[in-house]
Amino acid sequence: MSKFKGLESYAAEDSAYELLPFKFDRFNDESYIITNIVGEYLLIEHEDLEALVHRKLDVTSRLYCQLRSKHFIRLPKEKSPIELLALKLRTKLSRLSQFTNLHIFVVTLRCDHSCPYCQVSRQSEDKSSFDMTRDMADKSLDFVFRSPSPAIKIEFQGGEPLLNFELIKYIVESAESRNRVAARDLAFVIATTLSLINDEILDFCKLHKIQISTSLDGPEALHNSNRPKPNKDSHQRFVAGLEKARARLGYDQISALMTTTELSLDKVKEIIDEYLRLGFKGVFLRPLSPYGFAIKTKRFMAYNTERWLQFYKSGLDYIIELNRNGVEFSEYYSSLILKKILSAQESGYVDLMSPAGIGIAAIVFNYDGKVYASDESRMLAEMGDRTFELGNILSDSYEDIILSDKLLDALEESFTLSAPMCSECAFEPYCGSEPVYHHAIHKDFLGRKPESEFCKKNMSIFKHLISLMESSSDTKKLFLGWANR
Amino acid sequence: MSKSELTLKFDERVYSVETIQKAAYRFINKFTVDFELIDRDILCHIIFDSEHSDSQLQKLKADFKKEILDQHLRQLIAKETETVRNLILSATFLNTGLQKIE
Ligand code: SF4
Repeated sequence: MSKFKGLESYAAEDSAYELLPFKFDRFNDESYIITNIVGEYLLIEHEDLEALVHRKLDVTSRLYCQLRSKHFIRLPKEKSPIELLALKLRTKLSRLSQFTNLHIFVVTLRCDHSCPYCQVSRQSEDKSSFDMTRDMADKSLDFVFRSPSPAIKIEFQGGEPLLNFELIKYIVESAESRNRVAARDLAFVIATTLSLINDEILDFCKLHKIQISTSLDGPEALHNSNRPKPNKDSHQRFVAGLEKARARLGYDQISALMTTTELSLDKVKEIIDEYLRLGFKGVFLRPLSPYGFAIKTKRFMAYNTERWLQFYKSGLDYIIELNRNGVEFSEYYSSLILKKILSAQESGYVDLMSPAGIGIAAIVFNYDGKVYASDESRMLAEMGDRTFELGNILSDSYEDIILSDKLLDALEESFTLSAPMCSECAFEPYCGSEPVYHHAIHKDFLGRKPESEFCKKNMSIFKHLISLMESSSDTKKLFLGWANR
Repeated sequence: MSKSELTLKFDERVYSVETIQKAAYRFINKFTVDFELIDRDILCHIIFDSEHSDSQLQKLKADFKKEILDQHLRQLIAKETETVRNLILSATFLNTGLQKIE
């Protein structure tokens, strides 16, 4: 006798299974995607979908077993699927009770670069107008330590934050001294082009375990034309700074971000090769944000979502090929999404959250005392749209800011579970609401999703990643690795 | 190219106005729909944003009809799973302090 029972033994006696909540969408011409309440998915044929809903499924089929094991159906009154789904959902939602963990301090707006797509920086020697003061820093730290989150990350941004390194030192030391009592998991990051890095700064970073997040747009010519400096030496200074920083802080303490401009679009391989050449383990293929100078200089409109998707997809193909040839390298935007698709965890990435990540996952203390709901919110404000300005750190309390109507309205109105189209979209468990983006482009928090480039971009990426996994078990294995890191 | 407007008729006993409205929303970037109720018929006057060839119009019409069928199925699922969905949600928030236990 066989040790294992046949499929029939797992089937209900008749077709009396019950549906568990799920959503579906057309995946391609042949199939539909169905996702359950925690985002587990299956691709099925249209007839099977009809059969599933109308209780006509063959209970001895492989599909029936898959649907049961992935919790799309249960036997009448069976309790364990409910308990398991609740457990997974609780894990996914747990970040909500822990907000806010990323606190961005814009210590100065001054910068030594003049990147045409940059939304905020100023080429100015005028410290008093564009630097954060100690008083603002103290008040911002009061705010930071009111956050209930056990993990607190303080990120220094600019302009070029190293132009106000004295204030960074002051904030790091004050935060550490407060943390002796508060006992949080405290981490620091400086977002810098590395052009001003020196031994004094690196010694301080080493002592206080500060990580560096830097920018690399690709090979020398591309990087320099994206990031102009009077001496045209941005890339050269980047490479020198990177070597120095790695030697002093350790290889894994420095990460890099890339900005896609129209010049980048036909150079995705060259960009990835440059990341490889400089010893990075992955790249974040980011679309250009539609804010600030990006709109002003028409750079954002210079390429559309379709064109960016081509760039992203061919980059991803190349990265998959590299891995197939034994080179370990990943794409970070895909990894964040794959984490949502393939694991019970949330990625914590502000753009892909619902309720939106603004104010919840991140908050920004600006050089002039203003507090914003996200980095994009301050960029929008620089353009004159103050919708997401939550208050002023010098005059408003923690409660005034975190419970401000501006923040709560944006969170509530953009919530995907109640938004038209999103509420029924099979990809909703992987998606986010991005009220700042939609406000910038459509002038309301939700935007009409059929017209939204954000929706188009994300839906296309979700489908692409799933198609790649479904068509190759090697790719699925690779993606599982990215998702579970 | 033909002038891009057309009218479709649905039986209210088969599809609700809400179902058709939801389907129409998904095509908001291509056309708008005006509704008219006559007896048990729902008349959908479809006005396209731009001019279309006959074959494009036929394709959009077929897609819209398919979407109505999908929306209908979605509503069946939502209705049928509402209770169990609430059960999952209450089990999720139970003992997290986010929900008062009566
Ligand atoms: S934005 Fe688009 S892809 Fe995302 S949940 Fe809404 S409808 Fe789906």
